[in-house]
Amino acid sequence: MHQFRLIHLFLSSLLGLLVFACSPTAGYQLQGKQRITVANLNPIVPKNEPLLFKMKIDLYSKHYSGLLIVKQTDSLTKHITFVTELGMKMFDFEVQGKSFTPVFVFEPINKARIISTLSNDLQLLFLLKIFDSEADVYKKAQGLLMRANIKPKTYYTCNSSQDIQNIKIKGTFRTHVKVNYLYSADKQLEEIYLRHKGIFPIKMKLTVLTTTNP
Amino acid sequence: MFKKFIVLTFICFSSFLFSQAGFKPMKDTTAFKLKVDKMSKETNSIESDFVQVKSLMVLSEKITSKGHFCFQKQNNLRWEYTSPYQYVIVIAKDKILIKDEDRKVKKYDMNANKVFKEINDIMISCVNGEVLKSGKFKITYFENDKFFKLELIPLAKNMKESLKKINMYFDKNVTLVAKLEMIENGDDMTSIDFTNKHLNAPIPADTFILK
Repeated sequence: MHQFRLIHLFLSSLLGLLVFACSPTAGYQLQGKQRITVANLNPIVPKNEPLLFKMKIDLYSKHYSGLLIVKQTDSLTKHITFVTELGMKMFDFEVQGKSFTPVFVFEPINKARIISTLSNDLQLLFLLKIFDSEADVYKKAQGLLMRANIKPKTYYTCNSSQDIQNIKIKGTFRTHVKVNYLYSADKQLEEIYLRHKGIFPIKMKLTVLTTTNP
Repeated sequence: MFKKFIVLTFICFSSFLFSQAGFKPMKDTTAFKLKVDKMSKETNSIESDFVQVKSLMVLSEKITSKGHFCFQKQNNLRWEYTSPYQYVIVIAKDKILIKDEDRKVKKYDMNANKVFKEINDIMISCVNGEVLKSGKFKITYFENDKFFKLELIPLAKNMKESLKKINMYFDKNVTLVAKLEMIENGDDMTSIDFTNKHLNAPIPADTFILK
């Protein structure tokens, strides 16, 4: 009986250690709750000029590629628009504060479930959900970790220059969505990768193009 | 209120005049159709550079891409984008082949993809002039000093949902299409200008093969 208790204690400690070690907050110190603004995190979308990406997207079983343009059209409104290489518009979302509205979605992907997943993933990777939201902020020498106070648990990691490095949406046992950001040697954003696991998986690769008018 | 109405009317009227850019109804459509028919019969291959400009109305933004275009009778087409990205699309024998910066070739069956098939049919029929006989569009004919211009309004319901109008421009000799404008329902427009055109020049067979 005593031996059984020891084994149970050992296994429980091991499990506890494993859970703690795997926690995204391991190694960070909690600084407290904060409203996330540009003081904590550098935005991806610039206010004054459009951002152009070469984008590849595997949406469920279909592959699309083309150009994604993100532009502030007035002081309150942004648009996120995807056009194929041949010039066919696939979608156009209007962003005003926390509202994210489809203005146009090409018929084959104009399905409620697809639009919902796509909207969520685009808002996530362009950091639209975290700004002006409250989050638990953790700190260590190499940077910050922000855990948004929303469900499911969403973790934003940034470096000491406050550039976003990755985002993870964690379930109980695994990461559902992971976004990675790659920067050039001069710290300019170069690529964004998003991987959304689940019954309807999505993969996105966005490569920054320098100009809209070569 | 009345002033606003006058200003708005003036702007609409001015933009209408500007959009026509001196184009008047074509005088001799029969002669033009004969020229297009001749062009269609005599054209075995086309090679040209192109500049594609996508105008997004809501964003007041233009996206320009450039590349090289090849067409060979009957239905072989190659669009090679070189700027601002590398992207090649080849349509040959009912197969669509796509190669991008990853250098991987993706193959699709065109008959399984209605959208691609429709785009391909429009592109090929516009380039070789057979669009006039397709019956898929209501066509209005215009001309000015430099060009013949055709306005094609789609008749099929599914095409009407995404495409408002196609404008085709031919030079006065009707040797080739000089420019295409595809206008969507939200007034977004894709224009393709063809330059450095070579007609019936030999095109290597492997142009329409992607590895």
